[in-house]
Amino acid sequence: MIHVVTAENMQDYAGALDQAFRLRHRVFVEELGWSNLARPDRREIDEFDDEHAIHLLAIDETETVIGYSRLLPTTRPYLLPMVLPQLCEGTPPSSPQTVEWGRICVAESARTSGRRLNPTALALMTAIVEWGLPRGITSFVSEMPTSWILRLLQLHLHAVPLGLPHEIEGEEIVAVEAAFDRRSLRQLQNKRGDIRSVLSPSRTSVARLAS
Amino acid sequence: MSRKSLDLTLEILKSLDRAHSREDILRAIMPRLNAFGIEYIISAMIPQKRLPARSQKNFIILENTSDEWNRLYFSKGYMYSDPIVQATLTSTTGFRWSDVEAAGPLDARSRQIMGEAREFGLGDGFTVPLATLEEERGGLTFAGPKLDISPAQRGVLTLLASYVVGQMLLIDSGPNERRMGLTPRERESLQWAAEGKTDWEIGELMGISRHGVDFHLRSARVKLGCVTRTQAVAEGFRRGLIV
Repeated sequence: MIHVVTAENMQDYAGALDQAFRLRHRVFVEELGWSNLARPDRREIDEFDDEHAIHLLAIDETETVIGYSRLLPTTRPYLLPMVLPQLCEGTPPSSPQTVEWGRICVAESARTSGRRLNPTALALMTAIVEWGLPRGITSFVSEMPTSWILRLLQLHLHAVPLGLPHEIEGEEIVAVEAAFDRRSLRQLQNKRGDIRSVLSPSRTSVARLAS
Repeated sequence: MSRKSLDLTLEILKSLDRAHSREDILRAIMPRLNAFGIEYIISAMIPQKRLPARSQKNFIILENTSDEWNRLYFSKGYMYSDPIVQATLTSTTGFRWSDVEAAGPLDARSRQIMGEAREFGLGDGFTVPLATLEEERGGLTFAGPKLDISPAQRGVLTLLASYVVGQMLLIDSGPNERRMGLTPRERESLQWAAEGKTDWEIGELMGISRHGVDFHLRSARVKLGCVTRTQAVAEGFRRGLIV
């Protein structure tokens, strides 16, 4: 299930969040080689991990964090304009209806070799839409490999490029803003083969907090 | 320069959005690409296994090359020796055909395929590898006798490739296109076959005879250009006819 962790319920997730930061370090620093994010305590934490960050944690039955994504409000400084401005040609999106989706990762143990999209990644994407829609959030900005665009379109996430692709750390990366609606949620559920919510209802006030 | 290229991309995307058929898509993109020397577009998924010529064609998503070239390409099984197809499977980003030719000497058959392609106006190309949600691998090629594309325009083409295929897949999975090919009974039989049911079980489920089931599945196979039931099921999934 996907747990949405914010400043309000963070105290209930201290252990899980610590696992998440370690997972980020393993994937982004040790695996992908983003050496500027390396930290001696092997927890990848940056200046955007403040009280405005929304952490999506995929936690399995053994309480292990097997997947992670971070959502940042675009009404404050966020990654695209601050760190990767070359990916955005015009004014970077800034709206209460838009979040930035980043630091997307799945633990080694949850990777699949099959022909289908990774179920944990799909659950994280579903979580954004499922969590976002009732809160009036209707799009996300993301910097991603160009090859993801087709998959987003297939999921009825209407991605529009914000700039041309650039090579970053050996990968072709493009910034997109992807709009979503009820149809996107249906398609995501369709592809997951499950219409039940991916969001964890448990642990304190997650449900209350955004209303 | 890149602002202009992004604007061109967005303008083409807007007209792609309104495209409801293969012809609409070609009309939306081709006139704007002629300035780059692009006359042809070929998009296909690459089958994992060697297939007979008629089913290879099922993997074509969109193309506007001549019928004669198509016949030649598929009847001679060029797909399996085409150096561009090979490069599409190994590349992660878009590439010029000249890069493939420059990477190392091509064998005789590859040279023959490239030479014959040139005679059909496909002398130069830019190919973008693509992968679907189902992890099918394939690509989209922009081709013409001689291309004239800047680095920023390569970016435009790279983006366009995903959107053209995305729109084509959307149209194909819609209610009016390929889905029309199968009757409701054919589709239902195929759906049960996908769930591992025998002809007899499907007959029970649908309230028809075993021979009726055999009839519907046979007809579905023919329409899908498949020889076996397993192939038909796979093709049904691929086209989104069954879930």
